[in-house]
Amino acid sequence: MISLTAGAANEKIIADLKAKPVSLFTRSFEATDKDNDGSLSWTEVWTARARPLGKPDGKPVDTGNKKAPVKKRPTNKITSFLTAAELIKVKMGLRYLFDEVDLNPLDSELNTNEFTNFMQNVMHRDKVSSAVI
Amino acid sequence: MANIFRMADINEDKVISFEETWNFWLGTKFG
Repeated sequence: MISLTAGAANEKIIADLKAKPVSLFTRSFEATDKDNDGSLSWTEVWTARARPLGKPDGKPVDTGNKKAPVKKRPTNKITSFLTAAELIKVKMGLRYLFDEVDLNPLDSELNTNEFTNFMQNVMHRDKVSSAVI
Repeated sequence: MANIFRMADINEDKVISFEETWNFWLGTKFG
């Protein structure tokens, strides 16, 4: 298991994600950071639960309209705490698989054969995030 | 696979950095 807070590489991944202009990511990150220490422990990520931002209790707002609610189509937007945590886990999982197939780690780049191995590893996993579990 | 490699190799230097890997991943239906 890889700790989310151990190692400069992981800290760089989290710092990069926080620096990117990803919608709601920072807010989601802060909500997941229960002890407000500026980093996510594995427990904080693992116990994060998907719930819409802005609705702490998860209940829909009663507007008095009795019509059946229209189901919204899922989007790729970051709308939950878990998505931010998942984003970290996916990037760490990719990094893990990347390092695993990089036969010349000093250059930290994949040639054609290494990239082929990487893609095969990715496709043989149900979830990339499972690589860090 | 060669096509995927070329798609991921943004700066066309014939090798894939981790950032290129990550950007490629974000561009897939999984990202």
